[in-house]
Amino acid sequence: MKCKHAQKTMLATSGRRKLSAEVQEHVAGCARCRQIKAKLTAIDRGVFLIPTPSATEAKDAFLAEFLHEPVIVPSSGWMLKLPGTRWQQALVGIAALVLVVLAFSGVLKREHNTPVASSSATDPLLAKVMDRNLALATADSPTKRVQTLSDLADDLDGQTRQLALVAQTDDLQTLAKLYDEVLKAGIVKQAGEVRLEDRQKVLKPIADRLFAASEQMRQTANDMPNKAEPLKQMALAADEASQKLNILIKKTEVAAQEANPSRPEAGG
Amino acid sequence: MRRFVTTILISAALATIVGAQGSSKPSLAEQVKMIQRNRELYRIAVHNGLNQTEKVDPLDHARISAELAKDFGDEMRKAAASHDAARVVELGQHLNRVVDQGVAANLSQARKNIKAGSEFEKALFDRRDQAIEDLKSLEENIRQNLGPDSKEVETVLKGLRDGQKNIEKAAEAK
Repeated sequence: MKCKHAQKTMLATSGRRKLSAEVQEHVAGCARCRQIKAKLTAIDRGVFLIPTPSATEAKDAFLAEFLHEPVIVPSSGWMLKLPGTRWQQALVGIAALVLVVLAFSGVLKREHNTPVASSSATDPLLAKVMDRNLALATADSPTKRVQTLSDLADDLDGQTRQLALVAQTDDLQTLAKLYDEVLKAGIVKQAGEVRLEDRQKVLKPIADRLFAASEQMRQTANDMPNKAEPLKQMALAADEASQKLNILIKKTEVAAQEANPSRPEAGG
Repeated sequence: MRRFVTTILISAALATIVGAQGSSKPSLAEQVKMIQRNRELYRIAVHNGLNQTEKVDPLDHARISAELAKDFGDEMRKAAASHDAARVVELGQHLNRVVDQGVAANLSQARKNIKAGSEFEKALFDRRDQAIEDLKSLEENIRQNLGPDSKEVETVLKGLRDGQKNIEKAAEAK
């Protein structure tokens, strides 16, 4: 068996290299092939440490360079078969990469008179808070107001938990304080204005969401002891607001029952 | 090799499309910086929203929205003074929505129930005049500091002018 055949067989075998007896016999007697086999084994071990998945082509190209001879010879007709194929490949690759970089950097955009476009992205939380503010500016009923405030609380809760790992504690504290205010001065206060007949339907889902949020917030706080304080405050605020809404719903049911004893109890 | 180049070219095409779509969602690190920079605006907007829940009169809603517009305008002036066009554009987009959907929409709603010559009409005109004056002053400030040096800044300036017209129109007797 020739070295070239043995090396190709080794390259064609992925994972643990279960080579045929013939190849193993050749490798045992060939110092160069033994060295290559050892390097291939090292590559197999190391490939799992690469953070991004490697394409077969890229791996083949890497191995080919590793062995100082091309394993896959391009057979495409569109490429000129000139000597010095490797620098030609490199040139095409570099050109393509430059294209990618230019595309991502926005240079290829049609409008060139846009110095602002390359600046930082817009703040998604600010956009959400402004959406809720405008909804409150035109909300014409307590039901719409309390639902919008509930959405605002969800936005603050979601953003806080999303950024809990990376944000500064005082930033989380700011969000926690706003969350608390939205619940106490917003939702709980407005809940009492919701029409009696709508309270169960409107407030129960909000109370349930707040309860679930408090559970998740506590879980996040447990996972991040160094950021726990603002998260615990939010969990407590959500818990209290949920309880107050449930009490309000219950009181409304009792009042309705007393006003109309023939009416069946909710859930009964 | 052919597959490698094809992959790169497809990536380039996708990247071109993505790049052409403008700014993408910010990374977590960018969002943290945004929180640090905008947390006073969050507070202002949330408190302003809570104030809105206390009122039912459209004229009050218009006044409260005008206060928010003024706060955003102040922040835009600071950004314009430091030639931060991107921030002027971002805040300007929010401000123009507040003017249209908060101030003008509520003035228009209020106008429906206000009789000509009444005290309420005077209050309505006061709101209108103050809001327009604030927007004019802001427009002038941005023009002086930045000028229409980009399409986005020009769009914001146009939004401020349109906002003034919308407010004027909203306060007209129906």
